[in-house]
Amino acid sequence: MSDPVRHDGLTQALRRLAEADRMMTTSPAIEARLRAEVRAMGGRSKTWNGGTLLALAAAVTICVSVPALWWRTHGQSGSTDAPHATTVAREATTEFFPLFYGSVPSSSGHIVRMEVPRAALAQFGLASAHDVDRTTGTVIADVLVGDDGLARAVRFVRPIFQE
Amino acid sequence: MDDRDLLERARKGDEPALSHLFSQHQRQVFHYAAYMCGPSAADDIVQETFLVVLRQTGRRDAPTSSVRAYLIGIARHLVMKRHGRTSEWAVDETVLEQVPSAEPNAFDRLAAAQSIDAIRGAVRSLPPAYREAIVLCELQEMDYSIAAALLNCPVGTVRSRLHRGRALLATKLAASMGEEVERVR
Repeated sequence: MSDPVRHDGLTQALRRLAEADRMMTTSPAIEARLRAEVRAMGGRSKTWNGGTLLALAAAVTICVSVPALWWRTHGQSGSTDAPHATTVAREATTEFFPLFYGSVPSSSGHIVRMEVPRAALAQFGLASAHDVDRTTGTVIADVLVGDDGLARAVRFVRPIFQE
Repeated sequence: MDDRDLLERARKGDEPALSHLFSQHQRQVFHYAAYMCGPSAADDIVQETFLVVLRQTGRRDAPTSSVRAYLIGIARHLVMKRHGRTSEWAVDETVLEQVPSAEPNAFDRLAAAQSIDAIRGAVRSLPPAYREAIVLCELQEMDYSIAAALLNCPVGTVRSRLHRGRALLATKLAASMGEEVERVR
């Protein structure tokens, strides 16, 4: 009597399948998520001394302040080139709201200014009416990005115009 | 540095250690999860598995055998939890009697001609207890004793499930080949 369990054909079929399955792999986003988790764990387990905290605070402050100052300076000089246009006199900003990776430690970072859909305001419990660019339906946001490329926090910017 | 050291370092926030550990074992965990609960859920299972491992700081009881078996053991627990019904994993002892005999030469020729998708589909359609024996011991070539520790059963049970899994697989492939012959006619 034959034994289908011992068929060479079945063994060969399974070998071929095992070979084909070597292509199976996890998506890259999973490793990125786990690395962020490990960084956070490392941050939580470290005991920061006063000097390190002070240096970190200074770095964050510089990263936040310098680009904002640069933007304001350039924004104002741009306004003088177009005397008849409506110009940005100053801007009002919200506080920074932490994002998903907000608790992941980072030694440095920078601010990226972008336009986001008005719906983003509602996600942080903000009213949208006076902040929205009526022509595009977007609002301006500053995103604080760590040196690892993960977004830590966001704030919304409202330009205040003058004639 | 062995896998256990890498695991301990990763738990202490060593990112390169995690990266190395992940690249060493993610494929096998993903492979197991894809067969046991479908490719679309496999990414989630892999992520949850490694998160569980990373957050188990201070544990001294794991891993007992190999880190790979330890990781797949956690993935297995997550898969079973996701299924919600462990009764699906109960072994049906009557299946062996349902397996028809086939002429080895004819079967071998036809099995060798089966497409990868057909073979994969047949493996996925096996009852979970037999499927995981086939995935671990045939496709991943895991040692029987390690598989037994992972599945929390004697080595003899692993052999038995493997034997029955192969028998069922042969039946399914023979049936699909029969259907194929009928279509050609």
